[in-house]
Parts: sequence; C-alpha cells; structure tokens
Amino acid sequence: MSFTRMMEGNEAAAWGAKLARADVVPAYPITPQTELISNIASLIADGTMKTEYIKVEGEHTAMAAAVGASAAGARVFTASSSQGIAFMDEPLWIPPGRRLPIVMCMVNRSMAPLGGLRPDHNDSMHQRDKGWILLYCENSQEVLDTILQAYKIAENPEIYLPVGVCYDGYFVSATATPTTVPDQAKVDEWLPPYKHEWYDLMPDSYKMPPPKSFLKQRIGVAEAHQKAKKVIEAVDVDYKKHFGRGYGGLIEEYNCDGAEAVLVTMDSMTGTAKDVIDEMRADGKTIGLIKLKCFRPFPTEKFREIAPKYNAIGVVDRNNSFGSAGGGIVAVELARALYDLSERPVIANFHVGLSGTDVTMNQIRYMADETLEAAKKGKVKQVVDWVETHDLGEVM
Amino acid sequence: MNEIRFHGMGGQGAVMGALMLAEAAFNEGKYAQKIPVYGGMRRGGDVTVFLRLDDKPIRRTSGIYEPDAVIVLDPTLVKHPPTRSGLKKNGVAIVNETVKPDEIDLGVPLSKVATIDASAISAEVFGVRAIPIVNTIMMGAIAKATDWVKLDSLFEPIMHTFPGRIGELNVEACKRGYDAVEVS
Repeated sequence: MSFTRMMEGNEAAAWGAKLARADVVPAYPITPQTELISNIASLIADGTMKTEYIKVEGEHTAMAAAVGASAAGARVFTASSSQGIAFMDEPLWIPPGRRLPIVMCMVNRSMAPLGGLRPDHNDSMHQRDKGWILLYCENSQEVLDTILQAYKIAENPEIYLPVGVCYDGYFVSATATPTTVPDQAKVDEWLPPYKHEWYDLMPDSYKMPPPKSFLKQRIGVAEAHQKAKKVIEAVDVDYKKHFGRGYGGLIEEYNCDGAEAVLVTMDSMTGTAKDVIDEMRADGKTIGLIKLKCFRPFPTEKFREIAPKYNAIGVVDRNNSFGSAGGGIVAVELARALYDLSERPVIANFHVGLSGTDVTMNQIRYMADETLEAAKKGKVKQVVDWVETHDLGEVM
Repeated sequence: MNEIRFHGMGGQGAVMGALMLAEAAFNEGKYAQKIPVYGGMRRGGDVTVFLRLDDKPIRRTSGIYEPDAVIVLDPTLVKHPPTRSGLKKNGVAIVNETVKPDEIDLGVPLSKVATIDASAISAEVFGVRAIPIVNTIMMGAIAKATDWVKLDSLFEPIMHTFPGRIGELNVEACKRGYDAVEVS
C-alpha cells in the first residue's frame, strides 16, 4: 500500500530502488551517500527488498560490477558522491557506449581539496561529456519519483542510456520532508521488468550489441540523447497521470507569466528560490524561475523557445569550470544554446553555495535583483558574480 | 511558518530529536522539515539542526538565520554566539540548564523561556555519560512549554525509532522532561 511519512532524501532514494525492483546493487559507502546504501541494506536485511547487494572494495569496482550485471540482464542501481564518483571515472565511460540502462544516484558533494562534505554540483557535472543522462532533484519526493522515471527513460529501446539521479548532500540527502511511497503493485504495472533487446547471455544465442565501430557507437549515443528529450518529457507526463506528481520533464517554469527576467536554478536551492520569487512578485518585481531538471541532454530547444520572452536570464551555477569561455557550466551551455537566435536575452551568471553553505533567501533576492537590473540595462556588470564574497547578512 | 533551531553537541541526539519532533507534528497533520548541519561524524562537535513546522508544504531548504525559537541541548552552548545569532525578539528558548528561566539571557527579550536539567534526568534514566543523551527529555519539555506538538504524539516516533526496551526508556525520559520543565 502507498504510505506517506517524514523521510530523508537518502531513504527516499532507497525506496525508489526498492520499488523499481533493482536486481543488483553494487555500492561502496561515502558521505553523504552512505545512508542511501545503508537504507538499502536494511530493506534487504528485513526482507522488504529482494536484491543482490554486492559489497565491493571501492567505487571503481562498484561501477565495473554494475556494468557486468547490467549486460547480464539485471536491473542495476548504485550510488556515490564526490571523490567516490571521481574514482569511478574510468568505468563510468562504459555504460553509455555499451548502452546499459544503469541508474545511479549522485549525491552531490564538493570535490577536493578543501571540499567539505556538503554540496556543489561539480562531482555530477563532470559526467556531462560521457553520455549519461543527468537529472537533478529538489527534495525527497522528487528523488523517489525521479528514480522510477529514470528506469523508464533508461530502458526505453530508443534510448538505452544510463541515468544519473543527482541531489544535494545534506539539503536533500539528510533533509526530512513528507514523502509518499507509491504502491508496489502500481509501480510494477508502470515499470515492467527489464529486458534488454541487445543483450542475451544464453551461450547459444549470445550477441554483442551493434554497432561495433567507434564512430557509429558515438553517433548512436548522440542520437539517443536527442531522442531522450522527448522521452523524458513523455515519461514525466505519464508518471503524473499514474502517480499524480510531475516535475515538468526537462525544465519547470515557475511564476514566469509576465516576467521580464528569470533565474535558472537547480536542485535544492529551487525550493528556496520559489519562496523568494513569490515574495518578490508580491512586491511587484517581474521575476520568474526556471528549474533546470535535466542537465543532460541539455534542453536547448526548450530554452530557444522560451528565451525570447525575457530580457535577462540569471543562471545560478553551483559549480566551477575554471578557465571556461565565461562563467559556470550551465551559463556556458545556455549561451551556446541561444547564440544563433536573432533576439536573445542577456545572461547574468552567479556562483553560489560553493563553500559547503546553503543558498540563502538573501542570496536569491540579490541574484534576482541583479538579473532584473541586467534586463533593464541590457548588459551585465561582470561575466560571473561570486555571490558568497558579498556580505548579505544571514550568518550564524 | 514556525522556524526552530536546535543547538547541541554530537552525541546528544539533536538530529534524531528534531526528526522525531517533525514526525510527531506530521502525524498531527502539520507539514514539517528537518535539515541537519554538521561536519565529519564526531562526538562533542557542534550540531545545528533546523526544524520548520507549517500548515502548508515547506519548500525552502536554506538555513534558519532568524529563528522563532532555539532549543539548547547543552548548558555550555547558552553563551555560544551562534545560539543567540538572529534569535527573534519575543522568541522562544528552551534550554537544558539548572537555573530558573528568568536567569537565561540570550541577548533579546523573549516571550517564553523554559529550563530543564535534562543532563541530570539523562543520568538517572540512561546512566552517567560524558555527553548526556538529552533529546527525548527536551522533546517532552517542548511539548509542555509550547503548542507545537502534544506529549502523546511523541511516543509513536520514539518507539518507531527505538523499538523495544530502549524506546520504553526514552518514552519515560520524555515524560520526565514534560513533568520537570519550568516555563517562564
């Protein structure tokens, strides 16, 4: 039966893997992902979850085992964070090219050196060039729902790509909010057992997946990413029809009607930004919000369709791309997406939430005001604004 | 929205206490959210937990910089600057302290102050420890001093978190907290 209770993001993720009936979970613990796999271990220990849990000696092996299990026809789930994801880097290249629909939670945590245990998005964003689909979640409920959607997307024969379900350490992973766990039978009906069309390990009929040439394989992954945009949107609509909750597919537009400028946010900061946008709207400021749910594939067409409505877009990058063409990873992507539009908004760019801190209400107000000013003036003050270097109060 | 900040030391149970309080409020039909802030796992280090209660869904995930209430789990933290930082005028403080409520000074006039010697009760119920476990005792004190949750609502989350004998001891601790708290 469906039930609702207070649940941390990591526990919601464990329930997502359980409801998806993941056959195999190879994983190695790392803060802030640890409670996710310890919750899975508990669900297995008490008989709630029927899963082969493989204790491995490190993250590199976790992903290697995930690749093998997925190619053998198992539905596979794993999770890691920060340096753990980095240690997986070599086998992380395999699932997209081999078209293996593994789902992995990337519980965001900043990278070394001096990275604390708390989040920024560089650990998951550095997977952007490998071929993984990357989806970002705002709270526990969205984590659970996105894991179910992720399998549906990944296992679509038109797609066959691995999916990273990303969410902030602490602000989602350890934050408890009311979360609904849907009925298992209803999930089973919506998400049938995994059967890969290409892989068959029966000795007399073993086949390797086509194509065998490197170039054709790369083009295949690129085409699958293009097709995935429609599939991600369709899966979200279908999920909403069955379970009553949807997240907009690629992006969510919040309070954008009549806005002259919008902020683009990701992950847990979005909830804070929604509260601030409502307050600013009540004060007559014409600011809206776009939540970037899907970072890979980048929703280029969607942004090209909506961008001309706005005079400025303020991109909030909780990541760094040192020496980039200009600013954070999302800002650079968005600039490319909009480059050949004849009329396009100016792009303001902010770095925030990098030093293990939360993204505060005052920081959101500041970024919204700066973006509105850029909309009025038609230009930005600087390529990227490191918001945490300003004293905006809110210290403890 | 009621924004509450817990200040404790690693090992006192601030994170689990805030979660059990959130569960009790949720079971009473409110919306709740718990966000913990701590570094590497260690006993004795600072632990801050944010607890929000509301009658509608809670979206913001930022910290609480101007709390309506602070819950102080250890007497040594009363003078700790982050405890009093941003505390709202006419706010609420519930403190593990041996002194009377009117002796508590958190730098602003408060509408309600409650004190309880939770460390002493903890020693009696759970035995003497270097870092006393006080969370369920403070929860009982909160149920008496405020209208956030009813005392009875706390028992199910406690028993669900600690099944069996440990849960029963914690329910006893919670009731002792309820009975012993002094409210200004």
